[in-house]
Formats: sequence, structure tokens, C-alpha cells
Amino acid sequence: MRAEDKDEDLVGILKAGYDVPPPTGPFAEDLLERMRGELRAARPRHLGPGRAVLALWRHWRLVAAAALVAGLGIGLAVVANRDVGPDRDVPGAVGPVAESTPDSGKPRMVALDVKLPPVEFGPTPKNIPPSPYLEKYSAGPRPPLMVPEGTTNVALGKPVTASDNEPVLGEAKMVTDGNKGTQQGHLELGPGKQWVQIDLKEPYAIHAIIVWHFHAMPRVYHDVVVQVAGDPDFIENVRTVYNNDYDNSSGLGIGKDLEYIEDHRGRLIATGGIPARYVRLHSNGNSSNDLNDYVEVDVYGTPVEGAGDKQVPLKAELPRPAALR
Amino acid sequence: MTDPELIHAIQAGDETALDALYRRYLPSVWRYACSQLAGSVAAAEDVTSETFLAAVRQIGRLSPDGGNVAGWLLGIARHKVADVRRRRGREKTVQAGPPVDPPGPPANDGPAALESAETRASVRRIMDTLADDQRLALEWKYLDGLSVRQIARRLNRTEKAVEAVLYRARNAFRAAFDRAWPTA
Repeated sequence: MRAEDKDEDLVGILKAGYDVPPPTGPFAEDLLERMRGELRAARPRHLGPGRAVLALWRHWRLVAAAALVAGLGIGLAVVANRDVGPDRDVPGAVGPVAESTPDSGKPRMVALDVKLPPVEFGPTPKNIPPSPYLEKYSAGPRPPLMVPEGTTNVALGKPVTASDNEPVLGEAKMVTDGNKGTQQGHLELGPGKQWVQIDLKEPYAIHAIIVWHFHAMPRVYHDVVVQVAGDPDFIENVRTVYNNDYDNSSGLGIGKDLEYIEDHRGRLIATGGIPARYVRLHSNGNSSNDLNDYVEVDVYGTPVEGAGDKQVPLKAELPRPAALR
Repeated sequence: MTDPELIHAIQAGDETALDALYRRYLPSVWRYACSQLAGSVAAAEDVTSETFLAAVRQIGRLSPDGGNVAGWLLGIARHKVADVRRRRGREKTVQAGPPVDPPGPPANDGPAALESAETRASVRRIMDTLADDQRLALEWKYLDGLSVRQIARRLNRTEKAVEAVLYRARNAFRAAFDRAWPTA
């Protein structure tokens, strides 16, 4: 049998068994019209220069306070860096650095060891317009965060729920599957305000939370609010550990943290050992579109001794959580 | 226009390019949805709609010169099919490897027999076992009548590479079909 004959045979089988005429008429045209609408709606959401100046004028007190705090923070960071030594030579990677523990009653402190995904875009983001609420981008390694020895990522493989039951892409469990690169698939929630929530299954003293939104390109996620609580409904004992919603558009209060440009390092939020079982991360679109991407969330904690299934009360005033680049 | 040119244009907001991309790949997405959700036109329409709408929402992040658009669309469609199955509350396991044997051979030889529901299901299962590029190359070559050069452009491969893909796809399909229907 000649090759052409065999191909004719294949054509016959495929036409009879697999070919289905594509839809035409109202369905096809209606879908195309909806796609055109999506394309028109997919305009980058960012602060234009005029709006930025207006916002600066309206919130001059906040800006002045932020400048004061930033200056103080730089001073403290210089002191902190002098105490813990120089940055590690691998960009973004922070190795275990033991700290002397003269008081044997306190846990031994080590530098948090974070496994980072590969860098996915160039060193200088150029597509993000400046804003008074946007942190200046720095590609250098972040200073080490000291945490008690034995601190681990207690979110790995833990159940995740989301505000959007029908994600645009992926599944909720991808948020804690250990894959931090964007090539292995991730969760993408629909437009506007959305959240993901991790159940750690038992209370932990949480020392740090790191969130990776989509980081294959420079992008700023809006209204990033991170909360912890002892109950899944976030009704009691709710504490906000990060909030960069500067105009309260998410309705969770005005935040004092700055927006930031995503990259492979994720956003590290130091939480000072705050006890909680549930972690919820909010967002409200990003500088490229209105969708909400969650590639991975790490929660670094240690077991809380004597904690049962119920929520863990706060025993003492905790230091205000801080964000490290 | 080539696919990268269409993607560039769509990213710039060109609705004409969006129309062209939609009409170019609607048949492939539709066939895939129908093969995965056999017997439910409504579900296939849902998957097709959600796939293209999600594609428009994500197109800003797509690198125009990397990968192939059809594979990307099928990747989205795969997620959407899974969503539909979850919503329906029933599982349909799609397994790699040889197709499941049908209960019996077609009643008659020839095209009429091939149009039987069992045979259609068998062909769908065989296509499911093929890699995306093989599935697409087969349907573009033998159903849509595209040349190897046109397929190479769509798959972002060389013509030689596409010939190799087609060769492997034909062999895999025929072997699986012969196992399922020895008398056909």
C-alpha cells in the first residue's frame, strides 16, 4: 500500500471518529464579542502621574511619616547588618548563620533558610511607573532574618481555600505545593478583590510569611493584606501582619506598608513569632491586569507548646511585624 | 499574520488580530473539548468559552516568540475540562497508554461502521493518548489540510521536526487503532 493510500485511510478514520465542526452562529459570535470586551477591559491599572501627585498632596502627612519611618528603618537596618554580618554572596539566598546564645534559656537563633526559585526577569524593571506608595526596587540580597532554630515551612502541603471557587488557572493546592517558579503552574483567581487561606492544621508560632505572586515579569499586586487568626472565619483574634492598601479600597483598613515589585525572592514578612493557625492573603489585581496570582506561600513557624485545637490567645504585646525585601 | 505577530498585535489591543487568532484555533479547542466531554455540547461550549476568555485575560503575559499558541490554549482547556468534571461531580479518568478495548468490533466494515458511537469513542481515546503536538499535527494535517510548513509555523518548529512529529503520531495512532479494532 502506498503512503498516500495509508494517509487516505487515516483521513477517513479521523474524519469519522474525531472531526467535529466548530460552532458557528450566535454562540461563536457571542464568545468573540465577550473576548473583545475582555481585551478592552485588560488595561493596566496603575497610578498615572496626575493621580500620583494628587495622592501625594492629599496624604502629605502619611508621606512625611513614611519618610521619617524609612529614615529610622535605614538606620536600624545598618545597625542590624553590623550585628549579623555581611549578606550572603548568593543573591537572595540566606544561609543558616548561628548567633551566639549567652542566655541558655532562650532558643538558639539562626538565619532563616529560604529556597528561592530561579530569577525570571532582568535586573531592572522598567514597566512600572513610580508612585509614592511603591517601594524603590532593589535587586540585592535581603538581610538575613533571625528565627529560632528548628523553624520550618509549616505551610508546605497544607490545605488551601480561596475566595474564587472557579479559578482562572490552577488549583488552590498549588499555593503550598513547594513550587515557587511560575513555569510549573500556579493559582490564578478572578478579577478584583480575592484571597487565599491556608490552614496550618494546628497553631504555630509564626516567625515569617513569604508570598510569591506571579514573578515572571515585573508586576505590582495591589492591596496586599496578610492576616493571621485562630479561627477559619477570621472573626476572633485577627491580626494584620502586612497591609499596603493605602486607600482602604479593600475595606480592611488603611495600610502603612508599601507596594512592591514582584520578583523571584517573594515578599518576606517578619511576624515575630505570632501564634496562629490560619493565614489569609488578600490582593486586588495587579499592575498588568485585574487578576490575582498566587504561585506559592511559605509560612515559617515552630510548634506552640501546649496548644490545643482552639485558637491561641496573644500572651504579650508583640513587636510590630516588618517586611524585608 | 504569524502567531507571534498576532500575539504582539493583541497585546497592543488589536481586536482584528484577536478575531484572527480565535478563528484560527477555535476548531482545535472545540475538537479537544468535544473529545474530552463526549456527548455534552453544552459542556464543550462552556469549556471553549472559558478557555478563550481566560486566554484573553492572560495574553499580556504570553511571550510571543516562545512556545506555540495552540499548545498554550490546550493547556488552558485542560484546566477548564477538569473544572467542568469537578462541577459535574463525576470523574473521568484520562490515562496514558493504549486505549481501552471497546466491547466488540463494529457491526460492519467501512465508513458507516466508523461512525458508530463506539468507534468515535475509541478514536477519541487514542487521540487522548497522543502528546499535544502529535494530536494537533494530525488534525491540522488530515482534517484541516494544512501543509507541513503551515504546521511548523503554528508549532514553532522546523519543517523537519514537524515531519518527525507526524511520523510518530501516525505510527502511534495506527498501532493503537489496530489494537482496538483488529478487523477494521
